[in-house]
This record gives sequence, C-alpha cells and structure tokens, in this order.
Amino acid sequence: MPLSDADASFLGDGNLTFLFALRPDGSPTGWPMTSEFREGELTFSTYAKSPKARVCAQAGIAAALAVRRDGARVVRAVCAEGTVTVRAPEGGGPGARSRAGLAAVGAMEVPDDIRVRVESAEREGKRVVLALDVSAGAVWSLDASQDGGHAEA
Amino acid sequence: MPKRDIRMTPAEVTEFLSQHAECVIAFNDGRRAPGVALARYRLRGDRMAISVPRSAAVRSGSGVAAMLAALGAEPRVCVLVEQSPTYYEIAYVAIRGPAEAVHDADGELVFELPVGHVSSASFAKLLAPTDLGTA
Repeated sequence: MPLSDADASFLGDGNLTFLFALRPDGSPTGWPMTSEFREGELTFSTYAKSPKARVCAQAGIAAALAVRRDGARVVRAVCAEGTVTVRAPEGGGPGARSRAGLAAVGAMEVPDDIRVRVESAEREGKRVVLALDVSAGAVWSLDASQDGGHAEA
Repeated sequence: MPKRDIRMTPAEVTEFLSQHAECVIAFNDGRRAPGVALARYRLRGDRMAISVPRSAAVRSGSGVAAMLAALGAEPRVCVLVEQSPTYYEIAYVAIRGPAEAVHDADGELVFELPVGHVSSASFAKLLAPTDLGTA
C-alpha cells in the first residue's frame, strides 16, 4: 500500500515510534523511540554501541510503528517496514535540529542537559542514525481519531 | 561520568505492567521484517494474558487469522509496554519469549506470555542521586 499523503504527514510529527527487527535467531525484538521523517525515511538516533544499532545493522530490514495516543488509547498509527541502514548523524545532530521542529508539532521537549549530552556524543562520533526506508508505503494504517475511524491493511 | 543504571527492578516491572493495559506485539511471520500488531493485556501474576482484537490491522491483506498461523509456526514474540507523558516519566518494559496457549477466542487472538526475558528503562532514575554502585 503506497504511503498516503495523510500517513506521510503523520510520520512527520515526531511521534513515539516502536522500532522492531529480527535477531539472527529469528526472534523479534524492539524498542520505543522517537522518529523523524524526511524524504521517505524514518530515522532514529541512538548510540553506535547500542543493541538496537547492532541488531538493525545485522538484520538490514526493520519494521516501525508510529503512534499517537489519546490517553492510553492509540488513535492514530502507521506501520511501515523497509531496509535499514546505519549512518553518522548529519551536521547539527537530531538534538539541535529537532528542537524547533518538534516543538512546532507538539512533540516532547527534551531537557537541556540531555540535549547537550546527546550533541556532545554526536560530535565524539558515539551516536548513529538508523534510517528506515519506508518509501514503499505503509504495511497498515489506523485512524481512530475521527468518528467512524478505521484500520486499513 | 559513570553510566547510570535505569533498568527497573522486578518489582518495578510488575508495578509498571499492572498500571497499563495496552501493548505492541512483534512476531515473525516468515518475512524479513517482523509483523506488528496493537493489543491489550492483563497481568496475571508473572504472566501476561494478551488479546489481539478481531479488527486489528496486522499485514496487508491479512488479519488476526494470519497472525494466529504465524504464532503456530514461530511462537516467539516481543511485547512492548510504554509510557511517555513527559521526558522523565518515560518508561518501558519489553518482554521477549514464546507465546503460549495461542488460540482463537471468537475471532480474537488470545495467548499468554511469561514475564521472563525483560528489558526495561525508567527515565525517572536519571534524576535519582548517584547510588555509587549500590543496589
């Protein structure tokens, strides 16, 4: 299913996104993250030595579920999958780059001391970006935020 | 600065899981990327009773029935429970293990998962005083 304009717009909101991949033994594993969406890619910032970086690099393909909740209930979700690559952060890093953007869409504010620590780690080469190519579209999409909401797969 | 241990204790994991009811499940349905579904659960002692509603979206062109078949072939799952109202309230528990007693209950997929292999984090512990290695 091609990525609809609505789904692409939602993915650009800096949502809570669950990232999943298969370990070498075939068992699934995953992590809650914050994602950014640009040019057909969902990207996740993490430490280069983290288990998620290792597992995703080994798997080469991953799935991601971006969600928005109303209280405990998920009212909007997009599930996508694709090849995942590991690369160095771009100049300015996700911390510095995302503050204004994330604030604009109501995403969570990261404390300054945390942001400084992340940016320092980026400069030291300790952090990487996991880039998930979702250009092939959504595996499934849910929109329960309106009356008569529905799920499409 | 030494890295702070922000993992939850077993008691904290139990308390956290008892406070929530929604989860996300990943499973291996024979494709290179995991299948993913939204689900609900109840904590029963050291086990989670998990249900995936009939209406759940799972894969393009397939639904809960396909997930049921997938778990029959490969029962190992990853279940994630998460909260993030503010940065220092971010917390999650991830449980990996084999789905047990998988069955169709009136179109709803139901199974149990022992709370065994757990990964967790509580960002509230980033605010805790340095414990100098004590438990």
